[in-house]
Amino acid sequence: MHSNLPLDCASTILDCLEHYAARQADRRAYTFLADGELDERVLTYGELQQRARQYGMHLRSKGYSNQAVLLLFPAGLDFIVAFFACAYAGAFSVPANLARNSHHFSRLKHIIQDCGAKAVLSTPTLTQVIHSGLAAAGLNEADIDVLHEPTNTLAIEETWPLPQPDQLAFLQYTSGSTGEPKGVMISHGQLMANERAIQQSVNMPEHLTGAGWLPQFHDMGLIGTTLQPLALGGHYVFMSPLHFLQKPLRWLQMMSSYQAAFSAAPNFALELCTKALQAEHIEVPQLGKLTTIFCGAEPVSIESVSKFEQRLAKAGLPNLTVKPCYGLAEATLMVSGGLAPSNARSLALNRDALAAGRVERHNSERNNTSPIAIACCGLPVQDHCVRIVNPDTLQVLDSGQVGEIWFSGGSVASGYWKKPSETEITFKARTACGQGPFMRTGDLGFLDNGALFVTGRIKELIIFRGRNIYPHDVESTLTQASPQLGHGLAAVFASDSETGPGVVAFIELPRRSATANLPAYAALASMLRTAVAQAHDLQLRDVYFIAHGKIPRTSSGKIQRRNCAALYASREIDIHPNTVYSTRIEHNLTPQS
Amino acid sequence: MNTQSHLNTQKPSPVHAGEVAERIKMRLTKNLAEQGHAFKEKITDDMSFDYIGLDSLARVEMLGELEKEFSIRLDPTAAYDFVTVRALAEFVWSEISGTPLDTKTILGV
Repeated sequence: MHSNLPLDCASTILDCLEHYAARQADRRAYTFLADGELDERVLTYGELQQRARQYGMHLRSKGYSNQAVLLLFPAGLDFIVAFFACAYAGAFSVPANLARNSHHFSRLKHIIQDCGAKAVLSTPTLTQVIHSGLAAAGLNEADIDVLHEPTNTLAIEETWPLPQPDQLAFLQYTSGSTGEPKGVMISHGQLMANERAIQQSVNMPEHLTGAGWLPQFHDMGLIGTTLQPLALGGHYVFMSPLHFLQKPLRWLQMMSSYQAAFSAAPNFALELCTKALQAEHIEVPQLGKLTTIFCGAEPVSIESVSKFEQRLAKAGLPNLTVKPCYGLAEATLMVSGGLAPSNARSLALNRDALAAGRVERHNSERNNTSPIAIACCGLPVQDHCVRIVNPDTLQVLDSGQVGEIWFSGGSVASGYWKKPSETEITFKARTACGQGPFMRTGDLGFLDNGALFVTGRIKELIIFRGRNIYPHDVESTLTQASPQLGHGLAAVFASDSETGPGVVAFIELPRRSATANLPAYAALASMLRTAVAQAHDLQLRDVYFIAHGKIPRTSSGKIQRRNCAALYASREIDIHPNTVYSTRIEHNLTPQS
Repeated sequence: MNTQSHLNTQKPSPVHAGEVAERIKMRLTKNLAEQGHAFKEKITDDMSFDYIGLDSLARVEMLGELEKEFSIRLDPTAAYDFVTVRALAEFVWSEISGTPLDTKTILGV
């Protein structure tokens, strides 16, 4: 096993920073490629410590210790300094996506109101825009302070009370464009427990170089790629996610130029690279130094992984570099991943049996349906416990049976900020035989030979390119978008088709809506599409208007998104008499009675 | 992919912003059709990318294509700073021609 790492006994991330800043002040901790290619911005361990302490003292002097502080930054080094400054100040940070329009500011307002933040940290150039954006969203300007890093240097106090392991490090908001924002509470101790778990999962060496582009406010970007190298005295090279999306091969180039050993990305990123490599006659950068690309944040397709690895084998990419993993904000980040040497990378299963909750190997002689390949998401992380539990009876299930994934151990978050009942349900679950407490992931999977396989989800969460999209958030955007819809019902669900994954909306018309003509429905559909793009950065593939009361629902009135998805996939909805208008078929099928 | 490179090499360089706008509209129409996107209206110069319903990936992919087509560099935030086809075309044209951009007119401030 490895020799003792400072990470092994660090109680907060600041212990790691202090340790390495004292020993390697001039070594690079972070390099940001401002243009995604050559324009380096560098932060050494010494500079990071110095700036974060200064800034932290400034925040303390303003009284922000033990308070929520919102971090609103474009990709870059300033975010990192601010994150560590909050830790030094004993404040807890709330990383958030930069707002670009009024919908985003309205989401930020909900988060600010929920966490009670009195301060927003940003860059000098953005402070004014943020100030006016929040004011326009309805926040009282006097209630919120928009700050940037102080330029004048204060004398540093010698005695500096660093945060305790049980103190809150940050809140990770998992939902909340509209109604109910949910902030997952991560303490310094939980953060460190998960950093150790990630390190151990692939035996990550000290002083490693990592390279990536994941958003810094995203759990995988923050905990997985931004903080893991620092916890090991290493170097993290990164670029803006937009620079990656614009030219996916920049990611490969960056990993090659800096001889990175480690990166992480959702499945779609592998597909983008494979596609870009097909389309261009380019010299593929050498990737021989890579040992790990964690692949997670959305379901992993083993086919995408294989294609990516095959295409890059010529560039020296070692076999099995891409390591599917599984995690969620409620577990800080990683639940399982890394090396599972005695397991196959994927299992070919009988599709029908799996749909019924049983794990059966596909047998081409007996099974009529095509097999379904499920990727192995590695072994559960060390010092933690994964159980597969029947979500209804709460019985612990044996290996090879599909059930809900339950998780316990030092990485499990403290709960949802100011939501005691939801915290109780999600974080304090006990099995039928009384084991616990466990955190319920809401995801379905099974264990095989000790490794975790994720097969689906109980909760109706849509994961789109690594982003979690909550159907109810998008539904409330839709129903509030136009007075013509009279705050009715909507159902939003994901649907895969030959052109890739997509998101579809069914919207009920009001009971006594005036019969509209085709262009009027088309215009309304366009308007809804705009509202969803603005608020959620999401393209709706199709919009359907359904007669009042005709969206499938349970006897208790809950909408059945899965049924809707099935009706869409089978195209049954296109010929259904209750369908008033659809963008897929573009004509009124039946006049509304 | 052959038609793609064909299209890139055969077309002459644009001579004004209006032609850039035509190329942007062509690309958008083609991309939306390929993705099976439900947007089927004819795209006009004053249409915003929000109205069309483009997400961030679709926006920056389009910028990447424009970079290749015109051999220029475009910062990926351009698709958020310039919100309509016309505004983006004016910006791209200013990058191609090296002429200064009247930002105030384009951004409507």
